Amino acid sequence: MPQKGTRTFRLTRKLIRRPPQEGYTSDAKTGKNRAPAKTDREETVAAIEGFLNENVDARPVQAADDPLGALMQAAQSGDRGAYRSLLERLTLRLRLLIRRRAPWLDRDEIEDLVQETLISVHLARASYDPARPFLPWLATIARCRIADAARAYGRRAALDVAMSESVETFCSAATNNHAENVVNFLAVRRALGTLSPAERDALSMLRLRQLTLSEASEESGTSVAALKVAVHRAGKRLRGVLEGENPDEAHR
Amino acid sequence: MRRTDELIDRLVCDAHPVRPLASPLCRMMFWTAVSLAFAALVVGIASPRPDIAEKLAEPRFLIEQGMALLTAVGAAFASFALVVPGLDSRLAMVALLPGMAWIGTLGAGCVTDFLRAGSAALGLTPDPGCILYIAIIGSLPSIVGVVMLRRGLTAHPRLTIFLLALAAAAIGNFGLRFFHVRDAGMMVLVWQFGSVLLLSALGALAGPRLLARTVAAA
Repeated sequence: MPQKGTRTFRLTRKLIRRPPQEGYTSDAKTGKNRAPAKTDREETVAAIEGFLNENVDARPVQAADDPLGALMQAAQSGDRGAYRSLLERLTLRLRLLIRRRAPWLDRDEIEDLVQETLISVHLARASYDPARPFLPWLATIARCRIADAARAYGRRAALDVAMSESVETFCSAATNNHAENVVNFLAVRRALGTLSPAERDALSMLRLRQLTLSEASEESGTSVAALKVAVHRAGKRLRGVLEGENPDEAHR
Repeated sequence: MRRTDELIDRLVCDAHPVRPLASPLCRMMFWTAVSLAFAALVVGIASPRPDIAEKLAEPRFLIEQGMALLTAVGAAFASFALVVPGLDSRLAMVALLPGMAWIGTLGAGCVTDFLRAGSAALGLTPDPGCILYIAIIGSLPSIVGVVMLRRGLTAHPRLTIFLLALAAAAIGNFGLRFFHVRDAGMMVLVWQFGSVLLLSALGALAGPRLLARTVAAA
């Protein structure tokens, strides 16, 4: 537990005093909410998430209350040891934070996002005001990078959908199915073009629309026998065309 | 060694001392001083309008110029605040009130002209020189502003550069009216204010590219 009177202590106490949330238990005797024992990592995540979700009290702080701020202040004056220490601490915290805030990302993507956030911290380190708390400054940068990652993820997902609908295929069997369907469709359409109008109508009514012989007879004004002959010839001709036979021979 | 460790090594090597940014208010004051000095220089080179003394005694002219200057100052402050992570991004709204007041005064000028001289006062004649002059006067403030903005980091690059371009163009319009005599209400509203908006929109388009930064190779 952090020392009493420090900023971290106040923050932790504020978190503990919240209404029961996931992971919190209620003390039956006192009626007060009691947080389970938390590790340093969990406290860090809770603290940063608190800053991400709440309006931040940006009062001036003392260096003792804000060790990360003190490290950044030293880094601003060129202390590379302090800067390395700061970045290493941030890496751990950011990794945990991003894993929670962007659960759709895999391990490599989380690492990429951590690195992008570290680069942003580096580029913007002059914009950190030592008189202000460090975590809100960091949280804003992390939130921007997570939002960027979410947008990029959305763009990639949209691209995946577009590619899956494309006729162009590569070596994947799943994508080749679509191309085969297209080829089959074209072949069937070409074969249908070889049928006479009466055969095409009979095939359409009896095979595609699944009408009964009597319904098709009523609709077309053709006898049932004539429909049977037409659909039989149509089927034979289609088979012949699709199997590469000469349609004229198949018709005979 | 993991890639993140390598990145940290690289960032540490690149960690030369940096001076913390001054507050957005201080930066805005510095930027305004530079911009006004440059505008004064351009006005001096172009020679002020012959009726400048009369204009300076005209309340409408003073109010319109005051609103243009306030818009510039507000937009500059907002853009400098947006590049400081952790500050409330609603500070961008600071430019809204003077901007609306500026449009209001220009609109009121049109109405006054119409009531005084009828529909003839609302006639428009081509005046493409406005955009050129505004761009010239706003050029140095834009460059200085971009250099200053690049020291921070923003989550809204388009909005940030839009506000800076608005500030620079408003300064440009402020300076323009000290030497440009064609300032009937409708002409100012369409050609001058239109130029300000056009330049601001162009700036917004270039925002992400202007504010993009990379880490120097170690």
